[in-house]
Amino acid sequence: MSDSGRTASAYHPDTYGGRAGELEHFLREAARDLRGPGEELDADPDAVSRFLHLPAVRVQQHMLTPARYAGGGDLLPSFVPAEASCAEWILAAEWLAYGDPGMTLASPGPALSTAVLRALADEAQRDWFFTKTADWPSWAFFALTEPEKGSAATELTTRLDAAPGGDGWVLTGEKMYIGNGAHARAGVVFCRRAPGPWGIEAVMVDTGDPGFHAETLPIIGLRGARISRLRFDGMYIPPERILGRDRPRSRRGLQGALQAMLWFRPSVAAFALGAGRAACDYVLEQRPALAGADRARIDALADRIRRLRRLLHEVAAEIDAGSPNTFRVSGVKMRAAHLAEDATMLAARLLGPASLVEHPWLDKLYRDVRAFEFMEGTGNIHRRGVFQGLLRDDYFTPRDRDARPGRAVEGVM
Amino acid sequence: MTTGALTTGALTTGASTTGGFGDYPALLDALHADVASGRFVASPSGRVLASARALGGDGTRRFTRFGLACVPAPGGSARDDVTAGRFAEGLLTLQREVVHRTLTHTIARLGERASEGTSLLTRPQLQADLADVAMELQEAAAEPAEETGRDVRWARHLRLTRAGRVLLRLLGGYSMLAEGPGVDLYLAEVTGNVYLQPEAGDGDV
Repeated sequence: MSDSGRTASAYHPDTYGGRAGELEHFLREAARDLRGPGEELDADPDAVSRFLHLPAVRVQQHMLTPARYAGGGDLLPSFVPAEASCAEWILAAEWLAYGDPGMTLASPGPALSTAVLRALADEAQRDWFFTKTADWPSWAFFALTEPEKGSAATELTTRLDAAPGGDGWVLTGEKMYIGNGAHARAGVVFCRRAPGPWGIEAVMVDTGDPGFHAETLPIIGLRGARISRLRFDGMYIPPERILGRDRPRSRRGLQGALQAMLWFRPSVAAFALGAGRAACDYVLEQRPALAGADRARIDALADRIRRLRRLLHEVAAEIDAGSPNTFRVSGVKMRAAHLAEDATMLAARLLGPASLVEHPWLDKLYRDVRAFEFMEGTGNIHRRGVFQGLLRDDYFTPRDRDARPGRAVEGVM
Repeated sequence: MTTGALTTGALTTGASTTGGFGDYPALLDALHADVASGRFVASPSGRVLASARALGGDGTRRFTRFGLACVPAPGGSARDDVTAGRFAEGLLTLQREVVHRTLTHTIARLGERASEGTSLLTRPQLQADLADVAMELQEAAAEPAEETGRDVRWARHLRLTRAGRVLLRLLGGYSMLAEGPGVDLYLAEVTGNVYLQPEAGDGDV
């Protein structure tokens, strides 16, 4: 794989405490291992079990887990951080997806649930959850989306009712499009205990408990994610599995969902940018003499990737600093998802007639990237978010924080 | 090989909110049969795309996805320009019908969904997206049937592809299901990539 273009760390050299160079070099090398397995995974989504020895497959579990539970010490260098910041994780996510997005999402680990745990869990709850996901290989799921409601957190219908006798709860309902749901040991489920936004709860479930049912759905792309449908059929939930149970209702369930989406929208953008960049580089590898208008189209796309990457690292840094701008997060995620589609379509065009037949990995990527559109909210949801930011005059970067030449007069007219 | 002619109404007649999806390979077989009297039509680069069933156990198969397969054009495949042109026009008709069916399905599906107490179809952005697709389809159907070149057909294919992707975005995660409308739109894109795409640099749009 070639390394065209500037690296993410070139924009924010201080973001990772000086470790960016080492980390990025490691990730670039590790990601090389993912492409071949990615093709195998496309044919057989369960094939990930054959690649658990790869360092790149260990990265997600390690970086999204608190240090005392994180594994991979023998496979990963010490500078790969456990319980990574958002900025550190998106650096990894982009490189891993550059290797193969399907393998990235197929890798064991806590996935999206880690953000909910960070936001809501007490020490005992963290111990319960991360002990399970630290047991290699273990997958976890994050279950918000429902069959008829999509990912509208405030409208979910999965119920959490008081258990007969008053001790604990009973979970009933369905979730849809849940990554690794049918293979997970544990997960976080969003459900409704009472009407209204503050009636939403996040509960941890053990998939070995009675009442849990799951099936993998046949999908067109990103097959390694093993997208699943889940059903909770009167599943008993002990009282201690309600995340943030000692907090006020306004600061638990819904807030956990929002925190998770805020943290992982940049992840999806990073996956999309990595995949888009991979498509561009693949074209240049296959057609090194590409010139003229065709070369200009690749260069233009690479320029878009660099600009979006800069924005992505800005929003991630804001999240880590505790001052996120949700509107800009939405904009970056949506634009990155579209860019990935544009990149794969351009690659198919530039590699000539029948390129999707002659380049199986490109065909796979062509199908994979479509999933980024609806992961963590569809484009139209994010468009509305950007519009809300415009109404509040909070979408564009404040001018005093932007030193680009000419920026001071940009948009005045 | 499946026989029977492809007509403009072949898909929309059977369009329903529950599907009929996954039949693109069979419809492509029907187009081969209609245009080339039971033979396969070769792509300009010498390949044939048809249903895996129609191509049988051809050992030269390099690509099989969701019931569609690609092989080097077998002996006896139609290769003349007139047949290739008719086949290319048929492919665009087929793609247009697939997009139209998906539009019908999308409206029905989103109409059944409500958010904050109102139908999703009341959202202006969504209405605009659906209207754009409808106008694109209307324009595609009205294009004159006079002789057109490969570049023009490719441009029409790209416009239909974009329209289809608008619908897939509206359908969200459902569009990724192998048993949903996304698979036929994907196969139409692959077929365009094989049969309609000009060589790189040939007057791209």
